[in-house]
Amino acid sequence: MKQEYTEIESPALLDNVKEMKEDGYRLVQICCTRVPDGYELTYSFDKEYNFCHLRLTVPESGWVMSITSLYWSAFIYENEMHDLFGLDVRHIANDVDYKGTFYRLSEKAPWHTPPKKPAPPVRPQAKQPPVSKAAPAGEAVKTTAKAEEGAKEHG
Amino acid sequence: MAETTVIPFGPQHPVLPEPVHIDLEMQDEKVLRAIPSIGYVHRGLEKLVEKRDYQKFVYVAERICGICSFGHGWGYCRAVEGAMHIDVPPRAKYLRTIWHELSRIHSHLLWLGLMADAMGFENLFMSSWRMREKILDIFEETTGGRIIFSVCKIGGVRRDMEKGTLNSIVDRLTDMEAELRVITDEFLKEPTVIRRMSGVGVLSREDAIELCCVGPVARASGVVGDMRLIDTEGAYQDLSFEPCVATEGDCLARCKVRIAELFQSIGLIRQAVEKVPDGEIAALVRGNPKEEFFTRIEQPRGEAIYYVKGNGTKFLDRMRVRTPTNANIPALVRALQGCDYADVPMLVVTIDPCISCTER
Repeated sequence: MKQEYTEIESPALLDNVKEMKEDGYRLVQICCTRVPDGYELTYSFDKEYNFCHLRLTVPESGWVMSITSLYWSAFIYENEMHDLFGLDVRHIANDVDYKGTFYRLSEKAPWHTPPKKPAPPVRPQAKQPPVSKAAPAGEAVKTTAKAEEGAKEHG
Repeated sequence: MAETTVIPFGPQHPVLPEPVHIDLEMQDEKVLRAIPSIGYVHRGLEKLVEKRDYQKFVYVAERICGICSFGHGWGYCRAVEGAMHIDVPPRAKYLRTIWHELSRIHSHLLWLGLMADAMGFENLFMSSWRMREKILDIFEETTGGRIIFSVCKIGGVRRDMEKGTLNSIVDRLTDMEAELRVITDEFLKEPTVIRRMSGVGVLSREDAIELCCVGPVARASGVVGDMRLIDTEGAYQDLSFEPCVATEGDCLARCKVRIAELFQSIGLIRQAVEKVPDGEIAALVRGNPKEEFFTRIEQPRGEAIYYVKGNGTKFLDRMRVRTPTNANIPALVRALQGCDYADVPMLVVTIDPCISCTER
C-alpha cells in the first residue's frame, strides 16, 4: 500500500480539504500524533481505493480549523482530538461540538504529554560481599546510650 | 406544536450489549435529533504502545475487541510489517485469511442473534448463537482460544493447520451451511421480521457516501466498497468473490448483506483451503520499526485503519486504530432522525455498534 503524505500549512487546511471533497473523496480518518513541538495531524481520504493523506503540524499553543463544514462526520475525530490530546479545534459544527464532553474522562487531555523514550532497563547489581554478623557501630552507640540512661535512672 | 422531550437511551439498555449513551430529542413519538456520547469503557490502549514492546503489543491489540480480536491483531501486525518491510510467507497469508473469515462468520452470527433478541424473536436468537458455538469450537481446536487467539504475530502466525484439520473445517462448514440456510430464511422470509425491519431506518446512498460509512452499512445502501478487493496482505487476490451489496438502505437490507456475507465467507474459506500453499508460517523479524505505515483491513463491521509510527526503539511513538463503528456513528445519528421511538433499538443494532472497539 503506497504511503504518500502531502504536507500542507495549517491556514490552507480548509482549501485542501475542500478540493478533496469536490474531487469526490471520502474522509477516512483523522489521526493526531503528539510530537515534541506540537501535534502532527494526518487527514486520510479515499476515492475508489486510492488512499491518500494530508499532513500538517500544529504548534503546541496553536489551533486548527474544524472541517465539519465540509465533512460533517469529522466531528467524531475532532472531538476525540480535543478531549484526548487537548488540541484546540475551532468552529466545530454547533450541533456536534461537545466542548470536551464527548469522552467521559477522569483526567483532562490525558494524552497531552508527548511520548517519552523509556529509560534503559536497570541491570541487577553484582552480589554484595556477605555482611559480618557483628552489630553495626551505630547500634552499638545506641545501646551504650540506653545503658547510660538506665544507669542514671537507677542512679 | 408539541413540546420537545429529551429521553436518555443507554448506556444501560436491554438491546445494548455495550455502553453508549444517546440523548434522543423527541416530539411525541418521533425522534427529532440524536446526540451520542461515549467514554464509559475508554481504556487508552493506543497510549499503552509507548510502554509495551512492539512485538508484545499484538496481545494488547487483540484485546481492543472480543468479537473481531483476530482482525485487530492482524491489522496491527500488518502495519508493523509494512513499517519494517517484512514479507509474510504465503502460507501464513492463507492461514490468516481463513481465521479472519471464520471471525467474520462468528461476528455476523453473533449480530444475527442480537438482532433477533432485539425484536423479541428468542428462538432465532438461540439458533444463531448455537451455530456460532460451532465456529468457536473450530477456533479452540486450531488456536487454543475461543475469543482471544494470540495466533497472529509480527511476520506470520504461531500455529499451523494440518491438511486434515483444514479439510475437517470445510466439512463442518458445509454441514453448517444447510443449517444456516434454514435460520437465515427465517430472517429474510418471515413476515413478522419483514414488517419489523422493512423501510425502517433508511439510509440513502447519497447519505452513506456523504457520511463516509463503511462495511455492511454502506453496502446495504448501494455503496460498493470492500477492502478485501484490493487486499494484497491476505490471500484475497487469489480468491474470487464479489462484494455483497443491497440498494434499499433499510434495516432489512443491512440484514440481507450480512447474511449474504456469511455464505460468502464460507465460500472464501473453501477456496482458500483448496489453494493453501506449503511452506513457512512466519518470517524472521530483526530490528525495530523506524518508519510509519498506514494499512486497512475489511473487518466484519467494515473498513478498519491501523497506523504505526516507529522511532528505532522497541517502543512505538504512536499506534492508531480507526474502527468501523467510529465511521458509522454519524450514519446512526442521521438514520435516527425522524424515526419512531420504538424503532430506535432496532436501528442501533443494525449498525452493529462495537463501543469497545470505538473507544479502544
